[in-house]
Amino acid sequence: MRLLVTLLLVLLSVLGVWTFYTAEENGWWLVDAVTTYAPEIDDLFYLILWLVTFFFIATEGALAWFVFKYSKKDDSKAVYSHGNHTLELWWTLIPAGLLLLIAFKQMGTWADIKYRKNLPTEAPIAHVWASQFDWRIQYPGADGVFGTWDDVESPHLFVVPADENVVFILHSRDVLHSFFVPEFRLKQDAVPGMAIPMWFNVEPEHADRTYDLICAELCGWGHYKMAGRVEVRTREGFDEWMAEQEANVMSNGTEDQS
Amino acid sequence: MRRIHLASLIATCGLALLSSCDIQAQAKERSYSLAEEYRINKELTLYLEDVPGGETAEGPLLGALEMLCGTPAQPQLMLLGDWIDEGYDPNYPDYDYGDSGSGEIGKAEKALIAEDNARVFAVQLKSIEGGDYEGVVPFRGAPLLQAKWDEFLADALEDEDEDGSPDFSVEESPNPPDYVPVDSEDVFKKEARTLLTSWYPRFQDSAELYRLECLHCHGTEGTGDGSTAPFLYPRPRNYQPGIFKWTALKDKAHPRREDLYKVISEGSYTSAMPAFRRFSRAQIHGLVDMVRLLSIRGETELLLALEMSDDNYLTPALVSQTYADVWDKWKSAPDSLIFYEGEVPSPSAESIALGRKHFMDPNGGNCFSCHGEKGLGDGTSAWEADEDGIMQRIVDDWGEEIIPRNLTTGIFRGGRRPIDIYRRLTGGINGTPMPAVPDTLTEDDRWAIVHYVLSLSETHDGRGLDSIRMRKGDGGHGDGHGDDDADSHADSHDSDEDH
Repeated sequence: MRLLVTLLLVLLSVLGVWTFYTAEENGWWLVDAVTTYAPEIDDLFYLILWLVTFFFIATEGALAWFVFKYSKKDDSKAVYSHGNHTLELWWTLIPAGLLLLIAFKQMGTWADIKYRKNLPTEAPIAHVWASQFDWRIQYPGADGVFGTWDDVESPHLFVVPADENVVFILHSRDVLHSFFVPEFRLKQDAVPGMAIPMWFNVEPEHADRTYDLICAELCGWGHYKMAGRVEVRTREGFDEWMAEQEANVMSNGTEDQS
Repeated sequence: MRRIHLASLIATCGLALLSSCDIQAQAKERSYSLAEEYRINKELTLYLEDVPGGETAEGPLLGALEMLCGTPAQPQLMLLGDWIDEGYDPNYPDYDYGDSGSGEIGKAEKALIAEDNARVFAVQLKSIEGGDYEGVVPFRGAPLLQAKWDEFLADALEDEDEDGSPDFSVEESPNPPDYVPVDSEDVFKKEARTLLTSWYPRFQDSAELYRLECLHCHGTEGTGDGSTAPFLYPRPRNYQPGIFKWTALKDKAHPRREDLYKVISEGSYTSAMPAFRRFSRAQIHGLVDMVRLLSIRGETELLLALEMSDDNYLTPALVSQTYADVWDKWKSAPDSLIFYEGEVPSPSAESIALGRKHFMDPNGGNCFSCHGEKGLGDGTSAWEADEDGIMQRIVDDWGEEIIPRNLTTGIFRGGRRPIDIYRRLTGGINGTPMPAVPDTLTEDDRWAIVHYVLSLSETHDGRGLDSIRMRKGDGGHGDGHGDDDADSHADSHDSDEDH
């Protein structure tokens, strides 16, 4: 019985490690990282993953060992122990230090991506409006000014140029939504009443692809229908698309004749 | 012991009840039924039970409709005699007219579909290019394409060489135009590519997609009574009367395919109708076919029920005549298209002022009576006193209370392009009290109203840039864009964001 429980515990930790080890070949691993800051996020992820792996194996190992060693063997009485101050001090200080390490290590990355004062100086390319159950992308249109009569409105399709800083502003019309593009390593809640500036920069080799734009905050019955697309184009491709859209806004309806 | 028996008895009964509910729900999805009531106009409703013959009338009516439009599992539009001679078949919108198709999907649209299919089936196309034919990922949501591909592959692999590799020696074409003789691997790849990119869903595919994505609001028969419908405002569209709000047409015409396509693809903003742009172009076209079929079925049902309530028997001639009449309305829709010859005029202070004048003119646009003097949708004409003298909102053709659009939000459900608003003015909104503006208003007058209406929601981007200005610490002065009067107005409005 004692051996069985010990083996079970060991098996559990082996299984946990094995899952991560084989994840990549099974297609369970991270999706492509396509933005400039995505590798930084991934580095943080790996740092935490290795830390967690080390402590997972260590604590599981200790647990299995203790179960094996200290299980009830005879009728001997339990020993009263007041504990060990030195030991307690170390197992408090080491995790605290590691937590601080993680906290300081991520701070710069977080600030680069999310702090408003670090926002790239480019003018915003679009307003992104989330609503139940819809993404609307509002471009300024031919005159370059938002909120005028020639604005381009693109439902569910966010077209952006690659290899430059794309600044946009996230809004919600009703409830909490969350703008999430896994490949961009970018996720941000859209909060009603707030205009949240965001940015990303897609590496040029990842242009001419579409990425899923997912709502990552349960927002109502149609949450699962709230799936948009981000289409990354080259600058020329983007300008071409934008010219098409601007022409479409100024359409006089004659091209609809069959 | 007895208690355990009781508990298991209750559990069994509960399970039986649950499973029977499920069976009933599924049965409803597998066959079309009749609507219990038909709304003829705002005041008049015809109830099926009032139709002479009562319940015995249901059988023939259901049978006639099944002949015309098939079943949920096998939707199929009946061909009229003339169509067969002409080679017209609405079941195949992607085939050319005269080639047993309806020719509704033109060449340009087919090219767009092919481009989109190449994107959707990119994974499969890649494995075909790489020669991994067996490893082609199954086609999700396209069972007929899957069957076609399996058949296509089986034909090509029929005679394997001794070394087990596929033999691409000449094959007889089993079923033109989808198959042609295959005599080399390159040709096979090319044909496989064509098979996938030229894919257009058949009714069975679209019916399955409709069942998964549309039915829970719009109902099996498209009468707008799906299981989620009671929780929604506005209510899901009832296709039965053939009235659709968001078209580019005047004269209360039935919608064109393009109108339905736009609503399915882009949704009806801030209503519960989501944008289905995540579907492929071909799939949305398939859903358009499905909506049209259900609407034609529904309107034929309504007209036949009316005939029966006039003591007319359902004869084959009456049924097919009614069906043909309904079809005529759909086919003649493009004639009512609203367009403007010439360049869309740009707004100016004068045109906006002129638009304001027409907006407020009781004998002109008369817009203010419902939309309010400030365009807030708070006009008095949207209310009527009921018999007790209590003010109630007026209702639309579906019996739902209407709320005139608040024009200051910038949300226009039928589209916010200038031409969309122009079309709304010229054609009104079908099924609602929103009328077309009178003919006395010239095209220029209408554009002036369009300019005025759009000016109501113009923000000149106070909001967005405000939040970004924080980083510059310049207290909200100029960012190269929107640096004008309206901007500073918006600044003061949203200044609380700066703190």
